Amino acid sequence: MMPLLVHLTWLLPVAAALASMCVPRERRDLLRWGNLAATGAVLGLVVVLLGAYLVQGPDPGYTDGTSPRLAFVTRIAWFPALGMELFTGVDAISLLMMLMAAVIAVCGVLVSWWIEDRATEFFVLLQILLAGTFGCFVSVDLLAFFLFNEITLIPTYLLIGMFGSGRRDAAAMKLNLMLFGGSALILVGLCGLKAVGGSFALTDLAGDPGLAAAAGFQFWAFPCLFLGFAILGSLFPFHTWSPDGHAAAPTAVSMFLAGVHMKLGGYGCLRVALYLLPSGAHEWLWVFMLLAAISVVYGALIALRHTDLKFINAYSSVSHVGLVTFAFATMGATGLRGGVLQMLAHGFVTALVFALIGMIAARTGTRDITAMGGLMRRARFLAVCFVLAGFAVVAAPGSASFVAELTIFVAGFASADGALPFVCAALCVSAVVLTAIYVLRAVNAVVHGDADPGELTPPAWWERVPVLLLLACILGMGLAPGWLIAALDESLAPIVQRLEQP
Amino acid sequence: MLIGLTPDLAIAAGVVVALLLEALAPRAWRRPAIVIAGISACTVAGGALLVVGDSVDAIAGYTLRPWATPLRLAAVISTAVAFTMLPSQIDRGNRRQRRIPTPGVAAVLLLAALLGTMTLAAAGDLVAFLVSLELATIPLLVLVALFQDARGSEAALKFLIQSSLATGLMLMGMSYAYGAAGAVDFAGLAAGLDCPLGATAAVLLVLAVLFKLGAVPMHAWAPDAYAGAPNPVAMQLASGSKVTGLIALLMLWDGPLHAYQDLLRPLLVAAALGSLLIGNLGALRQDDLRRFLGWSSIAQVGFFLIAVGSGVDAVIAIGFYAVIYTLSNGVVFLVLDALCEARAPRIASLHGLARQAPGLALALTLALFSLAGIPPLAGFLGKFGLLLAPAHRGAYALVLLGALAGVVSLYYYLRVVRACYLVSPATTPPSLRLDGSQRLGVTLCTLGIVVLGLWSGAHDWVAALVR
Repeated sequence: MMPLLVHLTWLLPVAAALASMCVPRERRDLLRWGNLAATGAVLGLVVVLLGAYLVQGPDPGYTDGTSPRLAFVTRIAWFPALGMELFTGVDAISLLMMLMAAVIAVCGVLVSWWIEDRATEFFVLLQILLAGTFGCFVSVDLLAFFLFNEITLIPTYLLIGMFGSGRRDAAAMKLNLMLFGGSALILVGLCGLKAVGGSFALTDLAGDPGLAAAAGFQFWAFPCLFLGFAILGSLFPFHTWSPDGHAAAPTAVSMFLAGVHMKLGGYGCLRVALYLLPSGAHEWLWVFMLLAAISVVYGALIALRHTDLKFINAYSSVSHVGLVTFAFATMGATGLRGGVLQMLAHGFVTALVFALIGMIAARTGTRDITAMGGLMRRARFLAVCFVLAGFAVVAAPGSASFVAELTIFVAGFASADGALPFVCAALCVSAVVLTAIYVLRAVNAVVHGDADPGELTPPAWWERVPVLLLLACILGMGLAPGWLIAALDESLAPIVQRLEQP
Repeated sequence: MLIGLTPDLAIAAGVVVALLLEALAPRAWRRPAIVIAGISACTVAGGALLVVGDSVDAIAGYTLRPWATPLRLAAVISTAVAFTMLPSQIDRGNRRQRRIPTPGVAAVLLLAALLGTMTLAAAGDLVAFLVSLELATIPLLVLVALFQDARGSEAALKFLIQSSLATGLMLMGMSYAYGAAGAVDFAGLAAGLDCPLGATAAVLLVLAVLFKLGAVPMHAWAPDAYAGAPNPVAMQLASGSKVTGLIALLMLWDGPLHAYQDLLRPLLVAAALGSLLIGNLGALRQDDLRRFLGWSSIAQVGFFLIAVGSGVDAVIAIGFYAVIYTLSNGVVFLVLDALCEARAPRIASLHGLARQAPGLALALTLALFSLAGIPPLAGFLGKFGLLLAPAHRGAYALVLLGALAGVVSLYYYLRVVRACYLVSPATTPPSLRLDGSQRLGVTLCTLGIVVLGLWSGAHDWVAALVR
């Protein structure tokens, strides 16, 4: 029963995409409510699966040593001649990421309620994007993981190209080519893993002694894989696709791209690169720590200079996802935990900010903060939520990002065993100040001031619900993270153990 | 024992029937009869391949090879799709459109070229190899010039000159091989070839086969031939002649030139990387859709060549991707055929296709993504298999370069998709003409590339044949 639910998380969006193609174009209400029902059902499924996992724990056979703590496992051969299996299972890391993805998906569908022209294409492509993402999170077979990851590329291109704004054409092409380039590196790493390890299944590769001993192979395969995934996570200097892509995309797509899709990179780094190639990790992680620290500061500094709200948030995302990579680069238990927490927290926060930017820009007609002001007078709900979102970005205590960033900074300084890690950690902490500067600057310019934006439409129910839902998740995770952290630690234990071995 | 020969016999029967129909049938129903005969021959041959493709009979030098069955199936599919495009080339009423003046001749020549490919896979010695390869090439020479206009004649002349050069190299190589080994049959050659003269022969033979494939350095005929030939012929060139070249290369690699594999590997790697580079560069800025397909097919050949020489997995991957490549090409050429342009459909002709004919735009998009290697389409698994093969022998640099070339190819395929979906037509929307047989062809091919990417049956069949 439960394995079927795991499959339904990615099959339901596929069914919703096919069903949306059959709905007549005039029946837009049916389209919207149908898609909302589908994404809501997926959210329900993920909640049920998470509850069942917390109660039941991993499946027998996946509970000891360095085996991933998987539950609800299915393992059937799919393309036996290639070595690909439909090997799916979930642990706490994937379930929490899926929970975040499902919440952002529901909010994304709600935020896109107003789309009239080509609404069918929009929802079909969005559902395919969701299907690919959920398929990634449940896959334990690496080729299936790669396949699902690639599936998300084309809907992204078409969504940004058809429904975006600004320089959408060029931004969509740049995003697609750079992400595909990252996948090319991942592909080489995967081919290597299959050739040396003999299988695509994560569990088999983890237990393969030949792979563990092949230090020379790990020496080149680790940077290949890690870099490929890090490009997905917009690591400096391969981050240039991210600001243009997120700024040009429609609101729901920005929310999902910045909130979930970028985290696929971090997830891949954790699950594949760090877990399978620990000796390669020990050789190369100082490089990625340095690049991550530069990302964090660089993103913040650029965000300081921009006046377009979407660009500010996009560069802020580069900065905060850089923290994820930094946390993984510390390689300790605390660091890994902080990285996953930051993936979750930043997902919710950036989705909230992009949603609010979309709503504010739709009303004021501009995204430029120098042309806005006085929102608090005219749109109380949006302004208050914008201020709260700003606090969440700055990682004020009570928000999810506080929990995450505090863990990362503690990990950064605790595991610093030399000048370079210490400097990197210090750079990351300094970025908090920079974040505060650009966030407060933006919030101040938009919400306060003497300008009067005139009469503004009050937010509709389909705008209030996603904002409140995301705020609730941020506050919930920030005020009561204990159960989360306990579940995460148990699932991260095998990865930590493998990293400590060589 | 003759059961194994059914596919080849079906095609031979098709040639004879088409010739008889062209000569004797009344004018009124000559054309439909010829097309039906052609498609029937291809269908029977394809069905026979699926059923008896694994037979290993050997009759007086005619050696059936199971591993070549997927490649022969790809050639049959390619010719079948070419036949579905034939009626529209004949019946175009508009005087400004290019018309094929002699459809019976076209049908006979297409089937003859296919027959050459089928018998090539069963060649047991160098003479049969040569005759089959020529049978697969010479009809195409005539077919390229079939429109009898300046552009077609120029393309055919370029094709002829390169083809003659390749045949010359091949004959020289064959004579050296005979001189070195003292035998013409493949078994004797495999045993006897191990001296420097044989090495020269090996290189010459491989170069000749590279011409057939359209790989660097013998690639220059491809874009012109695609642009000058009628659409059915371009389809046959795109898929049929590539498959012929692959069959020839794999036969030589595992057979007579077995001893020279280490010598030939750098040559093949250079050809692969050169094809990827030059094909990608040529396609990047190309606006004429047919020349664009010509250049991109050079890059696709590079992908095939990356895998050659990496063992059993490579042969499985090549066989599988050959079928997928043919199906994807079929959709692209059928959509191309539907665009009723006078001379040369450009990428700009596709503007607004998504709004005007959403089904056709979707089919074209799926086919281009299959060619680019995007999941969940079958092209992804095909290309992944091709890149996985060299990884097993440690050639990771080749895998990386192939993957990066795939990124570049995504750019130019996306340009076409972009034209369909993201750009509105400047003046009038594209005029489309798609008759029943073409619709059927598009539907079947699109279903093929979607289903074969999700259902492992075809891939398992190919793997079972090769092993």
